[in-house]
Amino acid sequence: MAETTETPAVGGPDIDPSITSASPSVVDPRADAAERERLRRRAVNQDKFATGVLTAIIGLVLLIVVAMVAYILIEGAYTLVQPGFLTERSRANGTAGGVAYQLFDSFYLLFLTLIISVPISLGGAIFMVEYAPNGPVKRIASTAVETLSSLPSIVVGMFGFLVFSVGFGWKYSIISGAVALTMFNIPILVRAIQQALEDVPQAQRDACLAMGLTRWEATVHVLVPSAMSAIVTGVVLSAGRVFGEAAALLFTSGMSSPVSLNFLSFGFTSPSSAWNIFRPGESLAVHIYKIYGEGSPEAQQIVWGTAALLMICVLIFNVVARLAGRALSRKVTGV
Amino acid sequence: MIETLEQSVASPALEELKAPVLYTKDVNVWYGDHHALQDTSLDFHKGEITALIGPSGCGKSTYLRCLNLMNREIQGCQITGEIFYREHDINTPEEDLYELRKSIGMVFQQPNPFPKTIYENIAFAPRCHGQRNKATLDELVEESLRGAALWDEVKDKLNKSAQALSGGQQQRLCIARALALKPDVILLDEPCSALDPISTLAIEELMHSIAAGRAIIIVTHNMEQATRVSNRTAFFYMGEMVETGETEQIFNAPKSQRLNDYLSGRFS
Repeated sequence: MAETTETPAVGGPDIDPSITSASPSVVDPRADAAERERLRRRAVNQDKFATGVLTAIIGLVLLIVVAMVAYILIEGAYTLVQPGFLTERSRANGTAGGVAYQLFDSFYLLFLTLIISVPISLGGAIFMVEYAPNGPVKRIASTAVETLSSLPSIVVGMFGFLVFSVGFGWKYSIISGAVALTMFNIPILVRAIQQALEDVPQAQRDACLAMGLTRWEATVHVLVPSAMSAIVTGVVLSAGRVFGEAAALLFTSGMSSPVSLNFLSFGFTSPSSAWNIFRPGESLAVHIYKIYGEGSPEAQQIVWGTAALLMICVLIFNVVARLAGRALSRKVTGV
Repeated sequence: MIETLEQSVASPALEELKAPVLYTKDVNVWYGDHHALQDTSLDFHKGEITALIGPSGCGKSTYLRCLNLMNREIQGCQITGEIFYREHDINTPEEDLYELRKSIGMVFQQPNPFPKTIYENIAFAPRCHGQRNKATLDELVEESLRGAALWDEVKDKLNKSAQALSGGQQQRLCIARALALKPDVILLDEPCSALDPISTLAIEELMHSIAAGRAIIIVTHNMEQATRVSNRTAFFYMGEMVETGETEQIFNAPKSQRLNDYLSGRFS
């Protein structure tokens, strides 16, 4: 920088063009040194100011996240470590007991949702990226996916209630909830998988076609495996969102689990079998919503404990998504 | 024609050499409304390496991609004219592209090995085409890698990912992958433009050995490369095949003014 101030400035190549163009009248070489020093200061100050403001913004975001996570964990920690919170079923009005059934139902709902939505989304995304020619069909399909993704989840829940619970006669059931969550999950997954497939270089497709392989062989053996790490990351992240969803489930899977569930009964039609998809169920998020209305201090404790548990699960999903994605891509590229 | 006929009577092997394995008659290509290639007719013989040269956008790659009908994969691309391969016109809607592309291999500008192991990169396509015998596949992998002068470098790491190889090795793997389908024509689209000089040299040396019993057609920007590797050269300019002949004649005694200008660097 010292060098800059010593050199005569007229036409000096080391002047920042944006600064000189701001003051094109500078010609006197003697007055110039001072003027350039002033401009340099201004540039440096501007830079410092911007860095400061941007750092502050990002700091605020971090603070919000850390504060929220810490607050919920601290409030929920007491309940979370109570013996039986994770293993006992909830009692009437949620004034005591645990969330064992809600935890199970959340995972069971998630499992069923993924079983239904992953194949459908994979098919949809493959169609959009590998098969659909650029034209009206593709445009309509991608508009449909976007529309589905912008539907409020409570509306999806209402629709699920009217069609599956009432129309199909499934009542409040795990399967109604899973299908509603599927509708909520499909657009997220289609886009994630679509993005993953679009990121596979065109050269890979060319290589397959040039060896006389069909589009399907290319998709199954090369493109999907190449995109696998991004697909898995997308699926696990979407799982985090599904896991915490409440609104779409209020009217579909219901707001209560059976009083007693038998995890060892694999009679899928028995009303007390945990695995029966036609029994009502309650996810952790719905449980929070329901218990929060109770107002008693014990219920508040359960709400915090459940919230902390839900949050920990979602955070674990996010970590798993990253680790799984990284491990898979390392396996594929071998580096 | 008469001469060819006489020779064929005298020696069937020679006839094999004389009759082109692949030739085109008045091939035209349109991308939508853009007329990218005009009336191109060329012959390709087994055992010969043909270089396609010309400035960027002259149509040489477009022409190359007609020969295995890869242009069909591009939406809005139309190919007219006749492309004869093994004495029948392949530019028809009925042509079995999968069969065709097994016997006309292609290598691209950027090395594009699959994100699979070295072994799988080679065995994958033959397996898709129905070869499921493990011993045969093992043999095929070794033979193809030897054919691409890569065997000694990778024989101990066949189960490692192909993407961990160097750029030059990856490109030779792509050639091995094409060889595994036993093609009698191999198309190379600027195969060395992404490689360093030493890897380029390795590929050029390889080209002579794989040309035995095959027609090799290579698009190149590098005129020294064309003189080093090819027997015949075709010069393309503005979507037109301007001049073709023996490589020596093309570079030392060009007939057309445009080729002369191109060679003397008056445009690029």
